Amino acid sequence: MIFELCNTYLHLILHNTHTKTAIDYSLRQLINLGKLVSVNSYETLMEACFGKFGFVYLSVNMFLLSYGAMLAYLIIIKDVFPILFDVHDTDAKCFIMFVISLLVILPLSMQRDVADLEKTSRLNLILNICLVGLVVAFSPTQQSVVDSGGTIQMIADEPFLDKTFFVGFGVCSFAFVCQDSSFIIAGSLKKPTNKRWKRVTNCAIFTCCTLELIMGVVAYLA
Amino acid sequence: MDIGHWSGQLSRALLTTTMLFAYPLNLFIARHVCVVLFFKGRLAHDGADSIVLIRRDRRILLTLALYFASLVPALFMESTGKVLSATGAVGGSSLAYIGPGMAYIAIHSNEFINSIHRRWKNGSSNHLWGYPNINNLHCLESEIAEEDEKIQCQVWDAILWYISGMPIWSTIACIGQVNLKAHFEKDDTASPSIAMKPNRVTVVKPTWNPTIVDEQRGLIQVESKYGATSENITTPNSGELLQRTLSLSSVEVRQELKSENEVPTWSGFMIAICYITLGVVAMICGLVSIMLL
Repeated sequence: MIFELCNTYLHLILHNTHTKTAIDYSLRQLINLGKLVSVNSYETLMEACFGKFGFVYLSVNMFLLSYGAMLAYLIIIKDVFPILFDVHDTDAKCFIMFVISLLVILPLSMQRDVADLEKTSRLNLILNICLVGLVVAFSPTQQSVVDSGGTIQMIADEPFLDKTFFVGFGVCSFAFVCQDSSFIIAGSLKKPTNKRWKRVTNCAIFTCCTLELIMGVVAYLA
Repeated sequence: MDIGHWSGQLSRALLTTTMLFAYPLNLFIARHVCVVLFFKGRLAHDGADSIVLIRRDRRILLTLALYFASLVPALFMESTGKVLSATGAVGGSSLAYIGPGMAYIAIHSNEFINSIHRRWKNGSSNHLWGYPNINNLHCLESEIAEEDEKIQCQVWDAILWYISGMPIWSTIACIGQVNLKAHFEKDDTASPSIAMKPNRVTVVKPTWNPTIVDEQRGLIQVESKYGATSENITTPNSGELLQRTLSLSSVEVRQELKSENEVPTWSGFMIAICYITLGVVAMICGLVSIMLL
């Protein structure tokens, strides 16, 4: 989706750069600020600074972001999964999405503790890496570049900026925002010093950006 | 990638599987927000979902409500991109840029207001709307003399004041200062020992609160691994993380905090202001772009 919306090379570079620097910095700042006012979550940090308004504002935005993700994931399942069985009818697609979500998503969601999803999250990470590898290996990148007259010509033909720039910005923000979980992750460190937290954020953001960039560049060229 | 090729089919299967496993994580966050907003008690407010949702009926009802609330629109909607970019533009900008920037200014509000007074010391508050009222501040430096207030406002300073958006930033700092004071007073009432820490600074606290009081379960004190007992309660895994987060008061962290309690400079404030501006611009432009698409 990111490469569909970030459809110029400038989008890819700008979004990746801003994500790497801005998100990384804000994650570190949040934990620093949290330590200074003795709070254990992002929403209570905002409550300490801006009272009830800050607490509700942040909570509502957290809900909005996660609700949007839930919605988008279900739409992706509806669009992609039925094609595996060569189903293209809209009603049948909806039915398949309903059944698969009822069988897999609902039981997982009924868990009491987020730590119960540790194994599925680990599996998810591995599957994501496999997916990127698969796209890189089998995308017809070379053929597309040749058809377009070479990489330089392909880039030159693209508009410098277009109206989807800020849409791509939103999608990138959606993909990389993890501030709401930052306190839990920082708290899981044995010695949650700033130096160690910085190492965690650097590694995590670098890995995510690398995967995104590989996927984005390959899909853009293909 | 060919649609019918095995690599295409495998990619679809992988994508669907990742979506199936990613969905519950987001549902947990949405459920957490519902708990902190709609349930009463200190535990719910502090986000200890796993303890609040120990009652199965609550958990099932809340999960089902959120599941169907996302399922029904998903059955009718087609464009994933618009959903992602709309929520990213509003929620993402708020969480990643606006929130941290505002929190930074609010927490360092004393230093921010002092910096304002140093920079605009010749300015009259009559001409600078939003100029922090010197009489209402408790922590201003003694060097800010009363006679400075009487000096006529210089045109350039006034222009700079408005161009840089200082009325907004100083208002944020003033609101933050008032709320932080209330927060610490409330915190001191709950845990008086923290107020007696020798390295506590004017507004900020150098250590994390190591205890949490459970009102719903009869004042059970749960402490962390840095000195810790857990009575009459089976603390779940995420609960352990929460407790550990609460108790980031190891010697190493305390020393680090003490050494890092430096006065923030203009560059720090400028970054925070840039974050807020970027967040607001991204939010507005993102929404406008989606409507135009």
